[in-house]
Amino acid sequence: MSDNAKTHFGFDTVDEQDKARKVGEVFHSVARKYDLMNDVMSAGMHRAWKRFTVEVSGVRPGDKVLDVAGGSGDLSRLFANKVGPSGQVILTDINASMLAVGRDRMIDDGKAVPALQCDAEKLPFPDQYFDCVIVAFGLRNMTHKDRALADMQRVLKPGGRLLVLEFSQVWKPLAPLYDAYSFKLLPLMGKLLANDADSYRYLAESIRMHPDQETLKQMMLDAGLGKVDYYNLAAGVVALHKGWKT
Amino acid sequence: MLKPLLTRLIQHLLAQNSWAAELLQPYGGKQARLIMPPFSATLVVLEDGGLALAGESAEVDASINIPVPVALRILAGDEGAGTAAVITGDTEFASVLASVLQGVSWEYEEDLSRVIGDVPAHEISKFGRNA
Repeated sequence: MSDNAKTHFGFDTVDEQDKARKVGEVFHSVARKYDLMNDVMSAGMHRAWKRFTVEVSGVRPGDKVLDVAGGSGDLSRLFANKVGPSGQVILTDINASMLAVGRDRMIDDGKAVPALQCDAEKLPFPDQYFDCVIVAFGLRNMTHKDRALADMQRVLKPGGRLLVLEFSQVWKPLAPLYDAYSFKLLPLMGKLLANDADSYRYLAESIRMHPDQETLKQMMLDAGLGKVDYYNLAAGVVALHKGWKT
Repeated sequence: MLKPLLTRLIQHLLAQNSWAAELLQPYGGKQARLIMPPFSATLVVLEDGGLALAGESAEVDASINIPVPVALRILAGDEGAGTAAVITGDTEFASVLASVLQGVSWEYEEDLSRVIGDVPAHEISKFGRNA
């Protein structure tokens, strides 16, 4: 029996040191079909959720925005339009395959957004540099969420905002229906559409293991943010947390 | 999905009233409860001077209570009616927000023109104004 610290990988318990590699394998596997995966998982609603995230970010032209675990670059693209040529958006992801998808998309769009491979728990940026940090559908895959939140808080300027868009706890009466969708239909669709049922099963399980709305709010306060509010979207299937650094 | 839709509507109205952002911007992050019986809503000022509906766990800095008779006077165009609203909490912030909400107007002719074209939109708007 190993003495190493343990953490969750979906419903499995694994050594902490193994989680990043295992998550990496999932995302290497789904990178090329990531958009399809998001559309399947959210019935296309992830686009509206991301647009709403940008709308409530308060980001202005000239602002500096960090997109953590930015994957295919959807939010970086929206924020790049918002900050304009005088602003700066930096796209980051720990996973090289996902980052390559996002970077190529930005280039295809003619947007000069730097893409940087880095660990969200050890962001290679100075203190108080960004006006806004966003992590969308990425926090639940991180091994030490508390460390990642603390580091995202560190790189924010006073008055800056941390936005966390993530699957969350659905409204209780809908839970049985949502469970059936997540654990029966989703892996089946993953198998049919991407020939990758295991990755989709991990994604469904990781959603269930993620902290609920109030717990995540407290984690953000514990990370040093002065105030946190959250929006339930689609009856809590997804929540957008907005924290202010004071 | 009501909050995203209403937030988009609010932001659309504010975009048509660009003077409002300058007034609101110093209050970025502040939240106010707007009570107009039987309705109430909590608004949050965004850092770019925009407005959005606040989330589920908003901690309000101020509240603005508009009794029904006062609301009717405001709707009828009584510019002095706003002073009868009951403000509590951060009164400076609430006063600015109340003045913005009272001053915002909907450029419906402009919106209509995008759907049916300039000339029909102008004619319909003219008919509405004269009715």
